[in-house]
Amino acid sequence: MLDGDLVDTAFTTAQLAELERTLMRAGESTGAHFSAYVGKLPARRDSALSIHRQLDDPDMSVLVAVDPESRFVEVVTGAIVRDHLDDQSCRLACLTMTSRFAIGDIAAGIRDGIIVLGDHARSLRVLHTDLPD
Amino acid sequence: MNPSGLQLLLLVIGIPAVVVLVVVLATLAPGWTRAGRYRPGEPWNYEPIIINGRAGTDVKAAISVTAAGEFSEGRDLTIAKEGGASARW
Repeated sequence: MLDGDLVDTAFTTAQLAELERTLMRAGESTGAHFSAYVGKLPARRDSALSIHRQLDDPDMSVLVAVDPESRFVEVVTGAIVRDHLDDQSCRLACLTMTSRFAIGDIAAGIRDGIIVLGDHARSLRVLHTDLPD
Repeated sequence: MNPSGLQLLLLVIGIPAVVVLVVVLATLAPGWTRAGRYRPGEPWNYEPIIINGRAGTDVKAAISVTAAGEFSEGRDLTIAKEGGASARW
């Protein structure tokens, strides 16, 4: 859930609600827990990893961390989620996000990135349902 | 009845000018209503926010640990147990 004070954020309430819905939906379809962080990441990936390890179940969590000022995005997948959501898919999600970030649309970029991550993780989960030729 | 010179001027210049004005306003007006929208390259002067995170996640503490250099496990993705990707724009 959102952590209460929405006053000092760059996002509107509608954007935050949409992001939360997207994160929840991705979580429901994959079984993983999706979170997003927007703010400064002074040590880049280390900072993202440090936040990721504060989540409830890091091994089953995916974190999208964005530093708009330094213009970089980090996707961190937990040790278990990593088996269902490969790094290649994360790179694709990063590409999707950065194309939106480049025009200043941070919220839409995160939303689109989460959708890509959710779709790719889900597609791996249903491979066993494919019928052999 | 033939239009006078002033009426002709209004027809030929006035109507296209009004159309152009309406198009320009329709294009620019949404931007005026989103005055607070972030633009690339501007400083990010907002509180850090975590969405759908654990209640009580101390983001600032997590960040300050890495800023002080006390946490540096993620530089090599091949040995980290976590996966993922990074990108710049």
